[in-house]
Amino acid sequence: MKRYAVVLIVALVACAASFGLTRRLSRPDTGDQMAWLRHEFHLNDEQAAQITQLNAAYEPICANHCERIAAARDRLRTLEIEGKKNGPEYEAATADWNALRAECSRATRQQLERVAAVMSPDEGRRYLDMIGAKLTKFDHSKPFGLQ
Amino acid sequence: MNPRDSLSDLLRSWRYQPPAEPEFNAQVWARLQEAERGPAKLSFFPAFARWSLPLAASITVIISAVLGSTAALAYNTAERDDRMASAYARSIDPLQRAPSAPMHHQHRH
Repeated sequence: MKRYAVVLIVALVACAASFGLTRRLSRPDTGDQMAWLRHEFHLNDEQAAQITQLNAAYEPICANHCERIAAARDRLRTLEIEGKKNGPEYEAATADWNALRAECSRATRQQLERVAAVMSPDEGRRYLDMIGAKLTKFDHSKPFGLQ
Repeated sequence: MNPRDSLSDLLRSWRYQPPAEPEFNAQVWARLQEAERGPAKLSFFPAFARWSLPLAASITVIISAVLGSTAALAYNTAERDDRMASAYARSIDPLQRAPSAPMHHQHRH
């Protein structure tokens, strides 16, 4: 009985040690996003090139949205600091902010679908599920979305 | 005639007649040779029985180590995928990319 207990303990130690060592030695590579995308969704050269092109075309749109979001957030914050939270100006800024969020979410979703369309149907669905879950959810019940 | 004398005569005349065993000599020689060779070697099953516990223990430890490594690799891959998916989503989602200064600081000043 004692021998079995010793074997069990040694086996558990071996399991834990190999888990720790492997975790340490094979640190996940968090390098190039495109390389990861290519590997993860089994893209061929043509698909990878198309997605690179789509991302490049979307980049200025995304940058423009970023600027507008930052400006809208600033405007809302300024009005809050100035104590104009109940005024018509704040209401207008809130409406603008919600419209902008909706616009950005729509554009991001469209970009996601454009990229998914380049992939094989199965991989495209997986891509939408995986990346879609990481996008900011547009929720009207929380209009400001301020972080 | 005294009955005791007749019994004595009978016993005196009795001779043991063993049954014929033509293989007897050969069997004795075989046993002698076997004794000279020493104790018989263990057959497969007793040998297996002797090594079964260390063998099972070694296999258990090796399998445990392999399982540990496999679990770590799977964990690392899942972690990397999650991190890369988050980074990729951030790169195409302006709502995540846009800078936002913390509100509390602005209230204090």
